[in-house]
Amino acid sequence: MFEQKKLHPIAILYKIFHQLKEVIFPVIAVFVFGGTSSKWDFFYHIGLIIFGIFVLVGGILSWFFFRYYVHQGELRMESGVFVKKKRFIPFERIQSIDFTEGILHRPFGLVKVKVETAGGAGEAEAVLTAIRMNEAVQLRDYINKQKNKKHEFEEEKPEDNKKELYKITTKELLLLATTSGGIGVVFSALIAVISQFEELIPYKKIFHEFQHVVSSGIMILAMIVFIVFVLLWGISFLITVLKYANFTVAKLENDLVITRGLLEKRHITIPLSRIQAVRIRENILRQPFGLAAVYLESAGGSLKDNEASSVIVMPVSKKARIKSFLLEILSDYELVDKLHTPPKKACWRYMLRNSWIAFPIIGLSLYYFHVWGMLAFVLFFILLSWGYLKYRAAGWNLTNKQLTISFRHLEKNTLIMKKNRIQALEYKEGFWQRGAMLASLNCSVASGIGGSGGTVYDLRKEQVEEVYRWYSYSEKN
Amino acid sequence: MLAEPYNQLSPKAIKIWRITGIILSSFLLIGLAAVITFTVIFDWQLLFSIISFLLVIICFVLCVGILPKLKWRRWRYEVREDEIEIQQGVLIIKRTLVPMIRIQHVDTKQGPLLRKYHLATVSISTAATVHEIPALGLEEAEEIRAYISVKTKVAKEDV
Repeated sequence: MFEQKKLHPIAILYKIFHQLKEVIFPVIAVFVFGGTSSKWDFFYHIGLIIFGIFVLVGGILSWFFFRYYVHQGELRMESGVFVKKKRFIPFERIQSIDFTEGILHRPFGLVKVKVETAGGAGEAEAVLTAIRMNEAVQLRDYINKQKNKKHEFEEEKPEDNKKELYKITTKELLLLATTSGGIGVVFSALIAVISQFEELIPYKKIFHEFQHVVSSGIMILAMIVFIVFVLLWGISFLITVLKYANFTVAKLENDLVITRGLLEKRHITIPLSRIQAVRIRENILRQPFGLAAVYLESAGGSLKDNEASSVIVMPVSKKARIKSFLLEILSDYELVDKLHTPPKKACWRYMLRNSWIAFPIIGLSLYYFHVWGMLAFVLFFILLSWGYLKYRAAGWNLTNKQLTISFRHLEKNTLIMKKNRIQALEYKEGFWQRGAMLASLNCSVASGIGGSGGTVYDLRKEQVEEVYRWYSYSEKN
Repeated sequence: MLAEPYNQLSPKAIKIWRITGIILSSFLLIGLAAVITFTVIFDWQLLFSIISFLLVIICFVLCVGILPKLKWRRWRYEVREDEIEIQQGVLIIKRTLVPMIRIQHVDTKQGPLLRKYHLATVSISTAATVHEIPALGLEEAEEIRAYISVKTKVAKEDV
């Protein structure tokens, strides 16, 4: 227990397999494509052999330098040949200890031990690739004893204890499906409109000589683009309907249970205690109608199960409905009506921050493509307006225990976080913000395997400092 | 006006950063050599070589000459009873607060360069983020790591 232990040598094989898995495709490619000219064959073979030796020696060395042991209430691991890493995991943070057995483990009586902490972080926090079964059991028992874990046994949850909170109506489902295309729908609508006015647009005047070629060329292009977008939109419509049919949110004891789907029924359980934040997303199509989608950021989920980390709990609803729904299921999350916005002088900053990248692009395309480079100005204009929309969407609000921020990437996001769910808070002051007394605010919450969160730029410095002070746990500030 | 956190990194950090700056510049130098070679062989535009050359010069001056000292002067951290505060950045000043109770675990990292100068990097993980305090003296790093370890166990959960 307390002496430093090494893994069983079988772990070396696993390490080697792991390494090889990463390069299997390039190796195959080399064999397939390099096989033609025999002059290079020799070098490839030598290369492969050298590579193989590296992998073998690497595996042996990393096995040799790996240690695990228990000390002062922590599970400790030391690893690394050149860069030495020491990992310390306190017992209190350990959520689960799992054993798995692979093909190579069984004949030797070994197991792979996975230790997970509360965050999850995708792969388990610590993996002991191969140790003897009795050592593993010893380790687990020791840690469990030290944690003084209380055993909770699962009772049969009576189904009638389930309280249904929300079920999607057909009208809402259709609304959802129609508006999920987002930009694609807007685009195809635009193209549809343009092609309607084809006679009115003076193509023929502008490109007099190329009259037929250009106008029919553009028409054909527009038709094709239009058809493609309509197809895509139609597919997205169908997929959405199949995915969200019978969407239901129910409360069962201390969990929220969400079921949905027509062909494939999905069933997602979110323990209320694992909820990290509420995220409201409004895409371009829904925003004008006051509709939004509500997601819950949860600490559950893993690499394979993305959907459990950011879970849709209301696919398409009016804001007022969202407000009362939140009060009902999550009494401590409040949808605030008005947020403080960045000062007017932040407007041009937002626009510039979003569009500066167009300048080199414009320069390059004017240089290389001459007149067609003017198209780059279209890009500039798009980025500029997007920047303006970002400015309009930005905001923040602070109540006693809750921080709300809003910002736009593609969709407008409103993130509601409780103080004790915010993992870290950052306040950034760029070189060009300093003179104008502006600063940016960034917060992180846990979501699935990693983090999520948001940044609001160019707020008044005193306001950001106010939030910073609110978040601080010490009296100093 | 918020007060700055108190502690600074080891002064040896400047040397470390200068060395990594030199390594980076030498990589760019190799790139420059390649560009020049290609310009001669394949008759590329002289512009590329000039730009690459300027890049190497700028990188060298910044990463070896100016930035390490400025970076070191700005870098601050403070380990308090209930939280850790970190300040860093030259052009963009970034201040981060990490409550003790959000910390999942603390690691120390030491590459060959840090080891030669008897320094280490402390790496602090929450459920969502990782924060690093680079180039601390070994005893200091270990002290901080142990202190945080104790504090995270003791920290009161706020509901």
